[in-house]
Amino acid sequence: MAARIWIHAQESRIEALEAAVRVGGGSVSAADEANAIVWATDEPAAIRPVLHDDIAWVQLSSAGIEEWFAGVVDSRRVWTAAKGVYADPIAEYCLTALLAAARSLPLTVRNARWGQLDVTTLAGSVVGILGCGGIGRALLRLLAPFGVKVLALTRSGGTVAGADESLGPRDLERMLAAVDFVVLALPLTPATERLLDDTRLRLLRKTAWIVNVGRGGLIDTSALVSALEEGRIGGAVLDVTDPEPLPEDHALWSLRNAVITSHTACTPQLGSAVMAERVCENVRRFNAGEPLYGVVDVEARY
Amino acid sequence: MTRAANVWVHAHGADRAALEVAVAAGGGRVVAASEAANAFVWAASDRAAIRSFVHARVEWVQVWDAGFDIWWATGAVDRSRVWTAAKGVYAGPIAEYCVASMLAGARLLPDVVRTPHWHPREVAMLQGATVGVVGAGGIGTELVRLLEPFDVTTLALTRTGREVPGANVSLPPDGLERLLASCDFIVLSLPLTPDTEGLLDADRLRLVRETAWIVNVARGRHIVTPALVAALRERRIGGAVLDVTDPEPLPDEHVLWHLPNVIITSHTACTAELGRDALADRVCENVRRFAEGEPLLGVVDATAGY
Repeated sequence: MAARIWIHAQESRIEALEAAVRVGGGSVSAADEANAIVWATDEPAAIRPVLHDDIAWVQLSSAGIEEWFAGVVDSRRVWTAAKGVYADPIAEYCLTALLAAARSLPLTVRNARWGQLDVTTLAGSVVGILGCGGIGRALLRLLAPFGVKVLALTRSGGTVAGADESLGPRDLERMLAAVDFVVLALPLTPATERLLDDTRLRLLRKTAWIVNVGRGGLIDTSALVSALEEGRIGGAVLDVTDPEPLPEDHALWSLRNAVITSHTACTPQLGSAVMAERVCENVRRFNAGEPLYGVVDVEARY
Repeated sequence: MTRAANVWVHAHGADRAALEVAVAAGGGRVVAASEAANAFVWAASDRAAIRSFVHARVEWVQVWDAGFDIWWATGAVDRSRVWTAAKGVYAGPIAEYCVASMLAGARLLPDVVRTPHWHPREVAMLQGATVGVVGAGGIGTELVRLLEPFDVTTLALTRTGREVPGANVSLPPDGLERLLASCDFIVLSLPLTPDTEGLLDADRLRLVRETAWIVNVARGRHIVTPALVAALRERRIGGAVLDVTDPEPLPDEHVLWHLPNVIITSHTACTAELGRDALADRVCENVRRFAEGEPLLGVVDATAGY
């Protein structure tokens, strides 16, 4: 099927996406003549008026699309999310967070004076990755030469290539107690909301750091604040928060062992380049009748 | 040829315990009195004090420092015996520190940490970047290995210009300007000698890209500090991660502490604790070599200065 694609994006991103559509073998079309949409903004409600029966496929630019299930995503066409697209920049962010924590970099910046730092190496540590989709797999690839032990936990509990141990949801408590670092790289669903609650946070080691690149809602924020304030864990590097954006008077901003990066693990600039590549590939697949990347599972809600 | 290795270990606490075990494991005998020794292992900060212990029968001195520059300053180094530095011993933790530094720089970590409110900003990535390693000994080699999954282009500069395994481009000293002008990250991991002191001066810093980060794990005096401060203040370079400084320790009131594009880590890229096991392994191996009459690892070349 020849892809006739209507692109909805910020002015600055349209050119790159149009080029990606054409390189993939599709044509750029008006909304009413299109059979597919590339929707590269974050406005779920606005797409409904432009959806019509001929639209067979919608490509979204978000990787986490929980907001899109409120009456937008339907079963009448294929929806694809940008699953795994932003994996490389986000995985690199995760590694940055792990190394910065091991080396006490946030602390030395805050101290602003010469003094012995409590540093460790990432080498020899145990890293737990919760959710091993595109980000988790990209992180495993980056971690390969660093000499760490990786515990990978997934919904299915299936074997994760490159991990030292592959775990399922029932192993969560055991994993939390065993790691020096835990990386949250899983989708927010009713089943994962507040996954790290007060009880589970208490299982973490006193020196353990949390890295969250999933969604703020995966962690019970007030329980996290208590754990950080009481020094029950080493620290947290949060790209996402609950609430988000985090209000200026929030307690997290004043904690020495919390680093908040304002949802920049994948910035628009880093993301547009990788998103254009995905659009190009999916347009090619759509034309060729091949399975698309990142198809949304309406029942699993991601 | 075999000979007795009667080794006097000058070190404290856990360092001393680990090194004495290493000497014995290498086939040496730990002696309690320096007079009875024909070899010294010096793993303490009071380097100049060696002058009152060293005597004519000492054939070999192993020091715990990887950079030998501080030993020349003691006036104790002579040609009457072999001196070995811990060259390459601490490469593992230090190379890891270099990756941590580049990533933290790319993500503007010091500015993020100092901004206590929501503030999305554009950042860069290490993946796909160009990395220059000035001085590709043990640290540089290990760094190239750690960078393997990052799809970076690596330029490695050495005194001899030899082919550095894993590097995309190997350069001799006169390739420095080219390296500075073409890299997103510049790592200094070379010995301090009269030739390399002040290597990054005001002129050379002007060649560095506006977004590039400098990582110094060598010695503070490789960089002319006031020129670096000016480059950082005027945003002519991206930033700097400094494990070593000049002066060192860096005084509390120094301006470098307060620039938003600087991280200073108080010479902790490899602490005594992180390096203890690796130093013990080197001492064990060198004691064995000394006893067997084999060439030692890390012999200081008085002409080269390291």
